[in-house]
Amino acid sequence: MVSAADEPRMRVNGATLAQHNGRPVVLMGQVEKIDPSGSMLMVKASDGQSVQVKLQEPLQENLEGLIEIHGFGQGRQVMCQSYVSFPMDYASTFDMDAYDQAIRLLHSVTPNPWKFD
Amino acid sequence: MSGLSNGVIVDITNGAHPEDPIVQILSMKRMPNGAQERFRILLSDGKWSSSFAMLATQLNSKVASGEIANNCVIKMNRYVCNTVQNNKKVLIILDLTVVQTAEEVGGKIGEPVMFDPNKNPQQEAAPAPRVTPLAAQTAQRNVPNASASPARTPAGGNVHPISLLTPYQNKWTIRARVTHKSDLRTWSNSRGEGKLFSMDLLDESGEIRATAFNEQVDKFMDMIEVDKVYFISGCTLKTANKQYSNLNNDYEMTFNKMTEVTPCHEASDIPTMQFNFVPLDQLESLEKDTILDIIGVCKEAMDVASITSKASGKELRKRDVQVVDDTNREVRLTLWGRQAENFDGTQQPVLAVKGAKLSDFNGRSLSLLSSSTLQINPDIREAHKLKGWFDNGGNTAETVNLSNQRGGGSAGMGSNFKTFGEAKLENLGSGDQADYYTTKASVVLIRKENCLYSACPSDGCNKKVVDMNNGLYRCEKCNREYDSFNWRLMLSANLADISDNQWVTVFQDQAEMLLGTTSSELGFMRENSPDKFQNIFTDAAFKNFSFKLRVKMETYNDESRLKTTVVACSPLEPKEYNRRLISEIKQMAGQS
Repeated sequence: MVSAADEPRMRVNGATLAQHNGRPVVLMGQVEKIDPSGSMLMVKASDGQSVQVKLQEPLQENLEGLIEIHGFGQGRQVMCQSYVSFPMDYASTFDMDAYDQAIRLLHSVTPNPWKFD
Repeated sequence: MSGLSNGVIVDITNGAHPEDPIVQILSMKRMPNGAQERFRILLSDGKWSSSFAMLATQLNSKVASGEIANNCVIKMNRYVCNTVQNNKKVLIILDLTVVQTAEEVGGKIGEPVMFDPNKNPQQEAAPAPRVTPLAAQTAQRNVPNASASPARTPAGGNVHPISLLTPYQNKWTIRARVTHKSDLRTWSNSRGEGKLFSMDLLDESGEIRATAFNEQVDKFMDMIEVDKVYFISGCTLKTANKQYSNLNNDYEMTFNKMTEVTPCHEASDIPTMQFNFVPLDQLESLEKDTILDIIGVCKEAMDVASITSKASGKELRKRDVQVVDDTNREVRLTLWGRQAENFDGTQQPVLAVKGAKLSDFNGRSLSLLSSSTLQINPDIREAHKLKGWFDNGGNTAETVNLSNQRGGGSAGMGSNFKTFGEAKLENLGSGDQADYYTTKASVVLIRKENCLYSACPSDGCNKKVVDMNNGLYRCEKCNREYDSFNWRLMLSANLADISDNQWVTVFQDQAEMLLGTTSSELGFMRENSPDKFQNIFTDAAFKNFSFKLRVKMETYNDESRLKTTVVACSPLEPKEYNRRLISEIKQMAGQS
């Protein structure tokens, strides 16, 4: 697998995740459900779709609210390498709809003009 | 007689309402009535004829198509007969069926005699049908099935719906609720002086504005209370002056000597105040000066403040309150006059506002007009819902303040967005007048030489003072000498955005915001701690702000230069900026 430093991480939502199979992605969304095993959770992406996120090690803390998953796309799932969780006051002011529109705009231009080679 | 309903014209004139009378149309006359035509009809029932009939405008197409023509026989399915002034009657035909077409009939049936209600019905002579004066006045609007509502007035007559009030009919009584009562206002102009108050009246059919002057003010001002229902009769109707009211009615009325007002105690069907609430998160997408209704919880109420109006020079009292609703938006609402003084926001009441004006002052804010109504804790579903939301956590939720109040005052930031490159390309400021634009930019460099000047310490005067070298400072504008001065900032700063950079002048208030310190502290630092002074300037670099700029061509000693000054500046609002960028991108992509 490619190391994170070589390829830019694309921010995705539920719909565009599938286009980035095997590539580094960032998925931002709300924690929906944490699997009892602790190594899998469901995240509601910015377009409302539910995405399954697999963790390399079981969760140590109880996550909730807004979360940003950094990892690799695997079809309709994400293999998480690291995550950033946000405090509750950020989560309530975060404009999910604007974020989703930004993601859609990012994906609407191909080839990706924000890559620098 | 071919089945005409003989004598039916007499019956109708005498107040009866026989069903489905069959009559013949002898002739029709087109009456101009503003935008729409109206047809006056000479009807015959075989025995009598009368020109008291008018065709409802919804049937005009039948005339145009030829279905209704002179000599055809019709059955009147629906009609009303109203009395206009001087006991004259007007028959409005609302719906009809053509029983026999004009061609089939072929001519006038029988020998009908012109019916004159004033004379004995047994009149012999048949004067030529002439246009009676009443016809010219009966430009009745489309009357929907105007059978009187079951309510009776105190006088025993029938209650007239507000939507059917016209200047052409004076014998009516309405039963309405007062939804708004204005304060007493006095005026004095070249023609004299007087006093007035006005009110908005509402019933099931519609609303109308009424004004009382001078004597009627004395008679009715105290008696009429908001939210109560009254029987009102005998006012003068006239075309509405849209400048003073935004009610949905072409007419408005004035109280006169004949006006009578009686309280009504069975308020039953009259609806209470009609609101059309706009959720606060939609305010940003509406244009300024829109009149709208809102409902929200009064989160915070400021004290009453007194300001002098620039327009009229009068001193006005106002109170600002912050209103929040369950879309997690809050907005500033301004109350004026007595309403401001009497307002009690301590219990965080639910406020319902009808007819507030949206302004783009400080983002978005609302102001009450004299025609607005404010209800505190109204007993309506939305109010209870909001109170429930507020008590259950709504009061601690993070809200977006649409009326972003910043210390520097960022008035009307929503105006003209340009980048520096665009501004230069469009030669803004090169015309006669100053051009204003708003942009997001970063501070690149602020010159620390000549950033401070000594200014006159008297209030409001910021002129540079001359150091007399004897401990005194002279101000030329005030023509006085002072023993002290104020440090004031006038910065020369370079701002940059993605397109270009621009040197601008920044004055006191905005300068303090950019540097993050007051001018007097800075003056002190310059003398005493030059390192700290230096740091202030380096720290200010690369900060992002939203700037409102004024650019104008100025001439100084024969030299003309394009000068840009900062009128207002405020810290960048990422959300609002983001939204604007998204909409600009969409526009450019042709999708908006």
